[in-house]
Amino acid sequence: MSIALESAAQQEAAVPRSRFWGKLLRNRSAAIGLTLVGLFLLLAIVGPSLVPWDPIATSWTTVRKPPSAAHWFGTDELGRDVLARVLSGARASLTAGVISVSIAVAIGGPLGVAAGYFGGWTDTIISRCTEALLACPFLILAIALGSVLGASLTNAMIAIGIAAAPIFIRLTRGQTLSVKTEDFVEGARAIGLPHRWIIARYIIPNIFAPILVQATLIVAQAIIAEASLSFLGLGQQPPAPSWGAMLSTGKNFVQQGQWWMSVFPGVAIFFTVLGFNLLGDGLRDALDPRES
Amino acid sequence: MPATKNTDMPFSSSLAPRPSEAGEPVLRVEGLGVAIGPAERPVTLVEDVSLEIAAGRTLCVVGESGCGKSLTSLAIMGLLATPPLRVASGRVLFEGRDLLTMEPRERADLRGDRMTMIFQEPMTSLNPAFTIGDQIAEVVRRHRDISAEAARATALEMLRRVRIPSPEKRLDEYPHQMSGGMRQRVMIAMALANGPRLLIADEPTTALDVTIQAQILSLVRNLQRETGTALLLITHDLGVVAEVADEVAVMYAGRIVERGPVEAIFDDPQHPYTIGLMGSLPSLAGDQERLVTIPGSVPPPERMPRGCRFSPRCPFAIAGCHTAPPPLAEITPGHWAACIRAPLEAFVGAPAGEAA
Repeated sequence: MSIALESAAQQEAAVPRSRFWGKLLRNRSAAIGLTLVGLFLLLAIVGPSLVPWDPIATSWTTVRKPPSAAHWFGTDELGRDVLARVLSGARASLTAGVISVSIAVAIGGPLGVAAGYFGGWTDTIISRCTEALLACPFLILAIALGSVLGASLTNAMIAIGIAAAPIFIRLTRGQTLSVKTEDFVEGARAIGLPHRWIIARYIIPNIFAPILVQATLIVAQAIIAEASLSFLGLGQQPPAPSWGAMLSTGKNFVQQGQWWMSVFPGVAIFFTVLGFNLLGDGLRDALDPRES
Repeated sequence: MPATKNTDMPFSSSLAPRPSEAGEPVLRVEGLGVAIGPAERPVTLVEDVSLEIAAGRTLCVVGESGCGKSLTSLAIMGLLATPPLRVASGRVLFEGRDLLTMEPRERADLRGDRMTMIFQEPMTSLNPAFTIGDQIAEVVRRHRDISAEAARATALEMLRRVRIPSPEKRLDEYPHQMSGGMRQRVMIAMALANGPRLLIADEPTTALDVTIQAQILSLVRNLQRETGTALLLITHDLGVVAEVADEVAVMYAGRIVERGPVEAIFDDPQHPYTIGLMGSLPSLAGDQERLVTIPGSVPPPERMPRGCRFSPRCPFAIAGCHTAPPPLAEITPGHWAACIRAPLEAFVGAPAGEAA
C-alpha cells in the first residue's frame, strides 16, 4: 500500500507544479525572460573560461582597439579584453543583484510578517520606520548607505539590501494582513497551534508567491543600483571588472568614437535587467490563480 | 448515547476520549457576556448566556443572523478577536475547569484536542498550501507525541471514518482539488482526529448544497454516537434542529430566550419569539397560505430595550415587559423560558403570528 500511496503522491503533486511551469513557459515574455536570465547565469558561471583573455591582465600593445577577430568586443584603455571583462562582470552584477535582494527579503520579510500578524505597537513602529525609509528614493538611499559603509562590492550589496528592505516590509505586511483574516488561520487557532507555527505554515507559504515576484523584479533594480554604485566608485573596486565601473570609464571615450568600451557593458545591463523584469512579470501571471 | 461507547472507537486507546466524571456536563456556560467598545461604555452583544451539554448530547443554538450565536461559540473556544471583542462576564466550565481563568497556553492545548470546532465555510477553512493529509496529521502531532508516519496513519483512518472515497489518494490532494462537501468532511476529520470531548459546529452545512447537507449531518451524528462527543451545533435552520438536537437553546438579540428538550421546544414553545420562529417554518403538510413572519427587526445592540429585548416586536407584550429583563424561568421540568407571560395559554389562545 505504501508504494501505491507514494506513486499517487507523486502524480498528484506533479499536477500543480507542471501546471505552473506550463503557464510560465506559455507566457512569451516570461519565456524570453527566463531564457535571458538563464543565459546570463550560464555566462557568469562558465563565460570567463571560454575566453582566452584574462579580464584584469593589462597590455600596452592593445590599448583601446576596436572589436576584431581576436578581441570581439575590443579592448579598453589599459588593453584589457572587453569581452572577458563583460563576462566576469556578469558574475559581480548577478551576485550583487541576488545577494542584495536576499538581504532585503531577510530583513523585510520577518519585519513585515511581524507587523502584519501582531499588529498594534509592533505594527506602528515598524510601519512608521518603513515609511520614513520609503520617503527616500531607493537609489539615493542605496548611494547614501553605500558611501557611509565605504566603497566595496560587499558594502554596496549591503547598502542595496537595506535600501530595498522597506519594499518587502510593505509587501509582506499587506499580504500577511490579508492572509491573517482567512478562515484557515482562524481554523489553525481553533486547533491550538502556537503563533510561530501559524506564521511558518499558514502565513508564509500563502504569501510566498507575491514576494517571489517582487524579489525577481527588485533583482533587476538591484543590478542597476550595483552598476550605479560601481559607476560612482562605491561598488566593485578596480581592477576587478563590473559593468557599472566599465561604463564609468568607458563614457570618457565615447566622444572619441571608442564606443565599444561602454556599449557592451551597457547592453549587458540592459538585457539582464530586461530578463529579470520579463521573468518577474511572467511569474506574477503564472502564479496568479485567477489567470487561466 | 452514553459515553461508555468510547471503547468502540477504532483508535488506539491513547486517542480515545477520557470519560468525564459522572453527572458532570462536558461544558457548562454560566452567565456569559460578550462586549465590544471601551470599558467605560461597553456595548453588550451577548448577555447572560447559560448553557449545559452532557457527553454524547447535542445542543442546538438557534436564532437569526446577528443574535450572538457565533460570538457565543467563539467565546467558548477562546477565539474572539480581542480587542475589540471581549468576554465581559460569566464562566465557561469545560470538564469542570474555568476556561476564562486559564493560561492562554493551557487553553491552546485544549483547542483541537479536547474541544474542537468546525466552521461554516469549508471552501476557505483549509490551508491551500498543504495537502489535506498534512493538515489532519498536523492537528494530531500538535497534541500527541507521535511520529510522522503514525500521524499520517491516523489521518488516513480519519478520512476513512468521514467516508471519503479512496482516502489513500485523497490524503495527498490539496484542498483546491476537492469539492465543498469533501472539504467539510476533511474539516470534520480534523475536528475529530484527537477524539474531542466537545465539538462546536458553527453552521457546518450552511455553505453546502441541500443533498450534501443531509449527508454531512448524518455523518456528524453517527460519529458523535460512536465517540460520545458533546456537540454544540450553531444553526439558524430549524429543520436541522429537528433532525439532530437533544436540547435546544433559542437566542434572540444576544440572550437566550428559551431553552429545553427538543420535543418541548417544537411541541410546546413558550416564548413568543420561539412561537414566531416555528410559525415561519414552511411545511408540506400544512394548509397555511402564507408563512407567518415576525414584524419588525432586531434592534441594534446600542439601542436595546431596557426590558425584554423582544418586547417591541411581541404581540403579547404588556407594560411589565418593558421595564425589566425577564429571567429564565422553568415552565415545566427542564424547559426554561424568559417571558413573564409564559405559559401563554393562560392568557390567550391565539398563536403569535395571527396577532401580527
